[in-house]
Amino acid sequence: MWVAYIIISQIVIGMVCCGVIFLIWKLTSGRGIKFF
Amino acid sequence: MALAVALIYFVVIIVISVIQSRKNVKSSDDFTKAGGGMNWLLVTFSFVLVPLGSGHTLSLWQTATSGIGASAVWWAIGAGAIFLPLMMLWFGPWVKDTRLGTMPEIIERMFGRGLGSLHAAFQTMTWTGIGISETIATGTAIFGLTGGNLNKNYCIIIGIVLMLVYVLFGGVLQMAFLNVINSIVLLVGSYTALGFLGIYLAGNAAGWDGAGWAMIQDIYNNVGTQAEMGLTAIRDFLITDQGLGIGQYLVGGQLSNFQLGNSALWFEVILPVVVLHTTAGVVSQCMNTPFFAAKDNHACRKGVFLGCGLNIVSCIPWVVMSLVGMALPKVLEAAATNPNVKDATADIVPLLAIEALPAPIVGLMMVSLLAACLSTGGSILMGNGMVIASDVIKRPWKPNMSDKSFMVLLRVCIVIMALILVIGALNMTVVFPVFLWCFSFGIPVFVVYFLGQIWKISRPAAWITILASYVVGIIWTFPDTLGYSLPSWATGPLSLNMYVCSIVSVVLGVVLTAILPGTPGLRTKKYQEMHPEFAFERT
Repeated sequence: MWVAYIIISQIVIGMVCCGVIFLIWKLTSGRGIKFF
Repeated sequence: MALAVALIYFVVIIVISVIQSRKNVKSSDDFTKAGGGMNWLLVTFSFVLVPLGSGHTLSLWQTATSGIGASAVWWAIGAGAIFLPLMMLWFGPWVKDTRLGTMPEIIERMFGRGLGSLHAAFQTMTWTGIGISETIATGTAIFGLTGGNLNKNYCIIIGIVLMLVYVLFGGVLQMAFLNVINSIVLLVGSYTALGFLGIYLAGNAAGWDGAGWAMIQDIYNNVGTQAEMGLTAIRDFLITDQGLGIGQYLVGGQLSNFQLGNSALWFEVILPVVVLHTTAGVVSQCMNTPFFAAKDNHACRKGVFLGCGLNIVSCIPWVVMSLVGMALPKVLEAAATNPNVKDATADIVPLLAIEALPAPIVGLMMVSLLAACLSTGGSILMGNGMVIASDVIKRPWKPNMSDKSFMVLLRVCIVIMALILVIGALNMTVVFPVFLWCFSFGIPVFVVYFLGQIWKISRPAAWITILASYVVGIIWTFPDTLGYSLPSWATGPLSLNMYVCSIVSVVLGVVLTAILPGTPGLRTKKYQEMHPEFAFERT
């Protein structure tokens, strides 16, 4: 179903992008920060 | 009925949030920065809703219905999964570190009072344009709530009044409370409407090749089906008689969000949203308001995945509904015949809701659209009002103004900004190109701001870069009006001023900062040693 496909693919792509940026921040933030 | 429900909803939540926040709002600092004590949840919800207004709803479904199709949802990837984490992890904490109150104030500290004032003026103009888009979208939501029975201009006026109430009484803290509630309403309302639309489609699918959502797919993929349903005739009527482009792209593939071979998707959706948000957004007051108000850097960063998740899924119901609306003859007929429809591409979703959904669900859905647009519009009013009151009036002319007088001034500025928005909104219909044009003015400011943070502050380089980029942007905007022609390569996407402004800003910004004299960047160790009073702890 095309609607479900759009929703799932959007979540996957979005979370991957956000995760990559977060990883870059985590690796470059020096001392880092306690996150959760 | 639906309008009454929506108005009651907003009045109730606004009154509750005013009562809640009034206890905590004693000074202008409380009003504009929530006393600098917002926790991570309030920061996250406040920030998520700033770039999530008409850009994710009205303007996006207009883009979807004019050739991009379901791939328009990439806008939210750019805003929610790229810009949002960059802002929450880096740029937001950067402004928090300065311990100042507004973006022009930061620019002033880096590049002097002149450039601070210039930024105040241009950023107000930029966000006025974007605020006009939000006001139109708010009016569209109210149009849907009235069942299409109220003139759109009256809807816009009701919208601006709601927007004012959203921000005028309790300031940032009130907005933060409202944003938490509205984020939830936004998602619940729009996805519930999507579910009911599925039920409607399943109930009206008899006689077609597929049931429910598959019926829509069949209509898009099959020209014969379109002719059989009478869609072709209505579409031609809308295009030729009313000059509306709606429905002309009803072709297979529009329901896929992976039309990555479509250059318009890249040049008119993905690149603009990433470039413009991560430039103009970073140096704008309204995007940074939640970070100025944050308790600490940890509060800026903690909600990054939650914020991203909320932002990226919020646009989907609107895009899907606009694509469904275009495939249903009854909806297009309503667009062609309703005298209150100013622009069919803008009104397609409310018209679909009126046709296909039960009245309470129309109400819920339009409340969720209002929730998105009011929060962004409110942030823009707050940001612009703050910049005018603080950076244009108070600091240069009346630095010793009492706190009480400043609060009055701030509220007057917010009301004046609202009047400007409503005048613009009553005279415009198309939203998306306005976004792109307005955002372009933030590009050079971001380039010099970024370089000035991490590398070197060069005042002459900053002035030349910003002014040159503005001149080029204006040259790119008015060739027809002023009677000259652009270079032959400036066609298609390159005719948009954002690309040429970006190139000019980056090239001039980097080269001039390298060769002209300057001082160490704001975040460099050297600067911190030279100005111990501005030093901050790196976290």
